[in-house]
Amino acid sequence: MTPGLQPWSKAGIIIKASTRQGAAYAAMMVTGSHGVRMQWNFTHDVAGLAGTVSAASPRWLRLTRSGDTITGYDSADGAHWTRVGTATLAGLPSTVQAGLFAATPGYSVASTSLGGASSTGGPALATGAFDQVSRQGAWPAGRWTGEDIRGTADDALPASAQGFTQAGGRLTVSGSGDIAPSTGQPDTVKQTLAGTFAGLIVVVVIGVMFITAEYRRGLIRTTLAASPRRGRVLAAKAIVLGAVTFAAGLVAVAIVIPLGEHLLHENGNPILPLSVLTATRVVAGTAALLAVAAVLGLAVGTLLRRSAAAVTVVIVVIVLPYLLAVIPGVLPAGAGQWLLRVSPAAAFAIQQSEPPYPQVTAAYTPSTGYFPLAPWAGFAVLCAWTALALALAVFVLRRRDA
Amino acid sequence: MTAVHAEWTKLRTLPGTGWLLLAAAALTAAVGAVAANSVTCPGGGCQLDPAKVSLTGIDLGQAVVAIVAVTVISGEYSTGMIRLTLAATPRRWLVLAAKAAVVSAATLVTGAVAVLASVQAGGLLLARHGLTAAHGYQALSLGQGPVLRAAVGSVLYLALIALFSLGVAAAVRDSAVAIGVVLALLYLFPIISSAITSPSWHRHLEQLSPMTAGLYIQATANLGSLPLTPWQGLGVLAVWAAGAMLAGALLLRFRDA
Repeated sequence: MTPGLQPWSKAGIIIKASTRQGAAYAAMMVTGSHGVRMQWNFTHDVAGLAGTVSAASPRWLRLTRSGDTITGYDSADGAHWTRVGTATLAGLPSTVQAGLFAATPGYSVASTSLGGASSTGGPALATGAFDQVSRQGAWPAGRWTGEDIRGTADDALPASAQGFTQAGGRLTVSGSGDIAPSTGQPDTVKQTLAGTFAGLIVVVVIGVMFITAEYRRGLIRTTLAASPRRGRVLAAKAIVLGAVTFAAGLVAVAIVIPLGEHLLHENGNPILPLSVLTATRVVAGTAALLAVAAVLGLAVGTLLRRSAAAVTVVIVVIVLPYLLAVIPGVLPAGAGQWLLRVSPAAAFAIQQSEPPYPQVTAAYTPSTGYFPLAPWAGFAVLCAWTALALALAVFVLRRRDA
Repeated sequence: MTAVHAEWTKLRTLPGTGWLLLAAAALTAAVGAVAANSVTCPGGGCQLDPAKVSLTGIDLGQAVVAIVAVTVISGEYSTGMIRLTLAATPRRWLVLAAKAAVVSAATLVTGAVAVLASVQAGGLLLARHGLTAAHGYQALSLGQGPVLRAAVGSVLYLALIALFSLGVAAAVRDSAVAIGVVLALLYLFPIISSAITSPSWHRHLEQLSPMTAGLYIQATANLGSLPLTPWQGLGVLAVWAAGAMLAGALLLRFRDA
């Protein structure tokens, strides 16, 4: 079964350092329903002419190379050209592979429900028809040849189903499988940080006990007698607690990420490269998450004064929504996404190391490691809840007898 | 019997017990209703387990039950009441047994109310969201064997969670630490197993997890895909509860109060 064109099916012209999987490339293409695009090195995507492309309404595509720089142009009539984008492919060899291509992500109909997730899908086939193909500069002599180029984890039809024909200046290329970053891989950063939840429970217990222990021993009366401005007492507690848990979290995460990635690498797992900016965000963000969660524990502990109830409330509002949203088949995808927008569990978005790519077809759901909010926006949700709880705690602490 | 009576008086007169048990039942039913209400059945049908959906609230209700169970013993440690209790009943295992009897009785009643309400609400709401005879679903009712097993099993699940929490609290004494340990053991297993990609390790962790394995009792569809049968799953939780109670009893017996 080969279903028809997908929204991100693509056909066009490509320059690639080599036909090896992962080699640098830049391409101009027409797509199923996203018009003309220029894409390079898997994650970059720039829109060109819009509109659906058909035999009646064709597009002209051009790639020019100058050193490491490749510029893409498109045109509706072959006379008036518009520059779409410029890609710099560092270290591009002087001899490269260039040609026509057709590729398509597989089709998929996903349905997630409470009883379990299910999806039906499979590889699809895209066919591109090219005419008036022209070349300038130094090219080898001879005709175009067809080749099936595939990656290791490609959702593609067998080579026999794909093809290349040439008849009187008109070339037809059929291809299956996508030219795209691999999105099916587990997020190794998130895997190495699974222990955050254990750390989280510990810091919440510490945060709650930081105030409930004072109530239990009656120390709170001494504390409040020593500093009668109660808001200050709570603020001081929050600062000390936040600073200590942040420092502890920072040390733990800074050790566990390189160690975990090293172990995963040793065992032959593919590790996606992590930019310095992303690594800093994940490390500092996870430490900040622990610190803010501890302060939330302090605030709820002040409000409830009972350790068991306060610990449960904080753990349930942070961990349970995550659990319900991330374990596939517990909640419908819509309800899970909603939980990860409004509940403090949104903060775990800070650990997402791979952004979703709009031009790459994949299941961007919480259970595959993609959060509905951007990293810092998700973290802000937790901060907002904590600020609210802390403000309430100050209000209650001022009005209530200790 | 005197020990049980004493424990019952303490639990009954503790401020908050009634509210907490009421909250456990209400939250369980409310979450179940919300989950049932969020179901969508696009044309091809809705591959889901109606009993499990209706009983989703147990995930939250168990946390409230754990608070009650932990407080029953940790509360005594924090006020020093435990010394009085142990002076009155020097056979310490009897104190723990009496507490276990009282807490599980209270949980069984609360759980029965919560589960009945969940199944009723779930049946009504799921029928409105397309789980009808047209899609091959029977109306959810306790008359069906598997649904009855899921319902009764969920009540037993809550009672076992109460015993597990009581055992942990007897062992670690401090309420904040005890509830932290209980919730960590319940919630961390499924999170960690979801991060593990090796299918065999994933399966082993699920078989060991008190929450994941224990909740197999709620499954009424696709039983073949579970790593354990429903009753075996509940058995895993029973082993955890028995282990925690044993550890609690031994520590209570040999430690200064």
